[in-house]
Amino acid sequence: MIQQLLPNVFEYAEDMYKAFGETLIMVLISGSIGLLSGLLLGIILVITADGGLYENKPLHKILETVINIFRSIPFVILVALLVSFTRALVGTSIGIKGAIVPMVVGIVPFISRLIEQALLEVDNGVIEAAKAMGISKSYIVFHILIPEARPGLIRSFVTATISLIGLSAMAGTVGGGGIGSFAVRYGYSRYMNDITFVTVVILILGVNIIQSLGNRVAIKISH
Amino acid sequence: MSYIEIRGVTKTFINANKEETQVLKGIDLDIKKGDIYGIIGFSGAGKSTLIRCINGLDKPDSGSIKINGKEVTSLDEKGLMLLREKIGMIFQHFNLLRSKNVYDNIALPLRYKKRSPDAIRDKVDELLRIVGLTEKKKSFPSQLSGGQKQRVAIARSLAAEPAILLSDEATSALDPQTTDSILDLLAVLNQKLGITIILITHQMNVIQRICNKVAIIDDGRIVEKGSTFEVFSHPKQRITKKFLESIFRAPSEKEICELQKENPEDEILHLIFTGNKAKQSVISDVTRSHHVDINILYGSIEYVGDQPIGSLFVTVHGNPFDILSAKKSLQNYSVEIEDLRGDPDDTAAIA
Ligand SMILES: Nc1ncnc2c1ncn2[C@@H]1O[C@H](COP(=O)(O)OP(=O)(O)OP(=O)(O)O)[C@@H](O)[C@H]1O
Ligand SMILES: [Mg+2]
Repeated sequence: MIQQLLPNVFEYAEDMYKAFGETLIMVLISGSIGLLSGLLLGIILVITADGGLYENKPLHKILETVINIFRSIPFVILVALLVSFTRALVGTSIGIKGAIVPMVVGIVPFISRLIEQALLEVDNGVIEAAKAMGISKSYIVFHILIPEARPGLIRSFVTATISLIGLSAMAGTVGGGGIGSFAVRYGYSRYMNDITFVTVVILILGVNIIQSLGNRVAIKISH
Repeated sequence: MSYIEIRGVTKTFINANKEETQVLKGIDLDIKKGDIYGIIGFSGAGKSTLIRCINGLDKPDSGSIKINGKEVTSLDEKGLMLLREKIGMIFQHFNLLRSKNVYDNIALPLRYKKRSPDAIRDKVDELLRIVGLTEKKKSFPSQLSGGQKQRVAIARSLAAEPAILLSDEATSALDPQTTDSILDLLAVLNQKLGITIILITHQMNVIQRICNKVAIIDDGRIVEKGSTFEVFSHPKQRITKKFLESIFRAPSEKEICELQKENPEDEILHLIFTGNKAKQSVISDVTRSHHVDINILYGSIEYVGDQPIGSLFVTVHGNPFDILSAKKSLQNYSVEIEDLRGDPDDTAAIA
């Protein structure tokens, strides 16, 4: 019965598994690199801001400008723009490897902003109190600012990961690989609507699972 | 030489629109060891800025602040960090870490100092006992009442065994009963641990309850200061009297206006009695011997420490000569007299 409703899904099941596996790898790798660099940049954004712990106007301004530039480039164009950079860095501009580079470049500015927001939500009074105790700036960043922002940071990570799934689909269409390219190759180009349909359903499920897991963790650690 | 000596401190802030506001306009204060020194003023008067200059969270533009003879305005980052370890600070909104429970909040300054786990446990347990929160040590701040949060903040501020405690409106977010219990705790710390407390508030009853000294700050200047008893019993500045209206119930301006319209010849006075006279029958003596009628509008006795201060708002009726001699004899009883009648022109304008 199901086989009749979704004939192509069964015929190309193996390709589909492979495509999901590729997406998973793309999201995991670009996610880890992206989250770490985004976390770093987000922290730098906050502590160098006006009145921040390590106020540094020029550095802050430069960072802001670069982030804004990259955020204003649509991702598909960014992929094209980065082709030679990607090739120089990982030896190819197609496939999973080729997709990960633009994914990282595309997601880092976004994550930085999310992290910045999460860190800005930490009550400034708490930082003041720590300063009044004679606690050093670096200790404040690592033992107060970041732990206090944890629920917001987790939410940022979730939002970023979900965006990465979207980016992976786009990067895949350009360079080949992953669920996006799979859906386009079969579902769109060869009118196999059942493949498009099942892909969408799985993505919806996946995104919801990530979101609710993230929410649960965030709630659990916020008191 | 005073323990904390503040001389000619000024501070100007420049806001986002590049406009300058001078928030402190030359502050002089002398605070002795063991004082509970209250600084009272309206919102924006510069109270927080002043107290933040003492532990270097703000840096004065000019002037000097000496603690135990040591200038603090010229300290570098390192020096400031060491200084701040010896100066506790508590705030209106408690500023506890939401992500840490009561125990870990109090342990924060000790962990920073890399004390041994045993030493930390002993110290935190002792502090929990002092502030009466031993049962709550596993609770998170969000599970505590305002008063309990402030107790945690006080315990945290004591962890490094400071000699000075700065309190920036620590009771302003609390209800009257909780306010009293926190103030009583501060008084105990002052007596038992000998901590010098500098306390900012906009509530005169806070000053009345625990401060032995008070300074009134208005628009960046100290306009009046002295022992709490002296300032309460002989207030000089208009703003001081304004603050005291929350202690001694006073007639409103409208009431005074109406009384004045009804009997333009009557004097309307605020009498402040101190010492034993607060309880003696001065009024009936004067009424009898000077042929004047004294009509009491509002009266109360308040205590500063264990000293009573009596306050009476009265109208005095009689011929001008008798009134004058009645006032003279009141002054002989060393009663502080303030004439409450407005300028006749003002009154006419209002009427
Ligand atoms: N960092 C700052 N930058 C610019 N202006 C400031 C800064 N800190 C304080 N001010 C200004 O200085 C003035 C005095 O502020 P301060 O906080 O000392 O007042 P306050 O007496 O503590 O008032 P409140 O009772 O409302 O706390 C206010 O007008 C405030 O806007
Ligand atoms: Mg203030």
